[in-house]
Amino acid sequence: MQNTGGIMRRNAFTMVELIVVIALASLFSIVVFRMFSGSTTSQKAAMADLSMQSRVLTTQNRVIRMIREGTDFLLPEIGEPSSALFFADFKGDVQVLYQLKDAALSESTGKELYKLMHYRVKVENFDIGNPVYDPDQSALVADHIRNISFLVTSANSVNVTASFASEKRDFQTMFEAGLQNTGGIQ
Amino acid sequence: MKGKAGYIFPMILFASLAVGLLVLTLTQFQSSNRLKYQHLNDYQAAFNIAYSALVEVLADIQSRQWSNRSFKSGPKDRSENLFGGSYNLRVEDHASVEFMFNVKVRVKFKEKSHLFYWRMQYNPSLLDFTNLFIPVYYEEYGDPANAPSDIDSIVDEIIQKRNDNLPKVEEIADRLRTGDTVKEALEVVGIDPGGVNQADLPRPGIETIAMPPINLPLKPVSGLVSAVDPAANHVIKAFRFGIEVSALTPEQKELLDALAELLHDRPDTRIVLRGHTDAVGDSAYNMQLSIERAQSVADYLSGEGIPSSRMTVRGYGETQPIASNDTDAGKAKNRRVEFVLKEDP
Repeated sequence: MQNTGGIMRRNAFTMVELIVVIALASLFSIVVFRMFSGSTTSQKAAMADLSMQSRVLTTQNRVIRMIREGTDFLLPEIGEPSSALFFADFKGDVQVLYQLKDAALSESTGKELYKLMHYRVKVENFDIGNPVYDPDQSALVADHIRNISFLVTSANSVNVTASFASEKRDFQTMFEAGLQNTGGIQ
Repeated sequence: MKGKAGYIFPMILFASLAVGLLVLTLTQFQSSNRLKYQHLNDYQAAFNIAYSALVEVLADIQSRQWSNRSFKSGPKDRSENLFGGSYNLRVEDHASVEFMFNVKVRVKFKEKSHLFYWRMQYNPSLLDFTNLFIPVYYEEYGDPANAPSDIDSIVDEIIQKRNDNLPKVEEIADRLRTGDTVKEALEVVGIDPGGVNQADLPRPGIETIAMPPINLPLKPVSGLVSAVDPAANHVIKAFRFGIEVSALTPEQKELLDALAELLHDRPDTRIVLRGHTDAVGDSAYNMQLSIERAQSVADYLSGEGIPSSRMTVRGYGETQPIASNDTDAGKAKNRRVEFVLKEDP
């Protein structure tokens, strides 16, 4: 009987106890929430930085992968910096990397931004007297680009300097990409 | 005391729940980013493995010589672990072309497979390779030993197509290079240059090295002569020779070319060639040598179209020094041919 009485007393919370717990809990949750919301601002900034960094890396990898398909640089010539790159690839097609103005992003960020575009000239069906743009051969490589400069440093390597910009931050990358194909093969 | 213990438990429960959730969110955030990077770099890592395997094959051919290559008697397979991944490699001779071979590397990196294909050519005279990398086969493939048998013929087709396209590509390249701006280049391939970054910026000229004008110490004979009154009946130009030598050097010939031109311009001028030596050696021999020196000049001028009737050759041996024969510098001055121009009225 003593036990039963003891259990009954322990199982029930008094009104005062509940009020105190709820008050403390809400106090604690306010503290946690404030901490969390403080960290989300910095998290957002970190997130934006990370996504820009991953954009830079992706662009770099994509460009390296494309140029790797090349056999000869057509334009610019060695030692000449250019905003566009033309090269012939292993299939005997011509590939072009160029920067097209991104009107929407330029407006929203207040910075002049470009998209890096890739275009493949299907040489087999290409009429040089009457060149026709084929939208199917065009692809977006990267956006948020401020400027890209291609500098062909030798017969089979190109130095790429690219700057990217988000609303708040600017990023820059510089890398060397090489043609995987050397010499003619018959 | 017992009354207070009643709300400590729910408080601890709540607190640990909150902390747990926070930690969980942060770890998820981090790991998702790490995964993203890894995914980006996986292909690059796979390529590095394949390329390293290829370089080993090339080094092996170089060290053994082509005639002893490891795949001479048939396809050679190799499997290894490298840079945290693994590769299976097959290298084999091309079916028909000599010095040509195929390298197929299947790379497994983080549960993803890539097949890389290189068509290589060994250049026996340069001990070097040229290659064509076919980056098409990214699809899942098993061991290259079991790669689809038509892969080689697909590569043959690609190479054939490339060769067919080559003249057109060259034509496009010529058009691209003659353009002055990116805009013109884009138009060549049919791309609308509207809104393209730096489309109108003129291409920078390729920098050329400016060579300074060549200042040869040679004094043009015509300059010397025209400075003199044509009525004067002689101009002497020292024309030195090495010891014992009567042959003409290229510089001397250049000077004589100018002299021949002068004589062509003045058909009434006759020339006396007077040979001299230093005082070293026998005087009879020096007399002969002085004539030979003057004669070699006359022969050259004659070869340039000056009739021998306008030239007189004389040898003075060591008899008319213009400097001391006791010093090397003086002797060098004495080994000479003088030109005496006679302007007939």
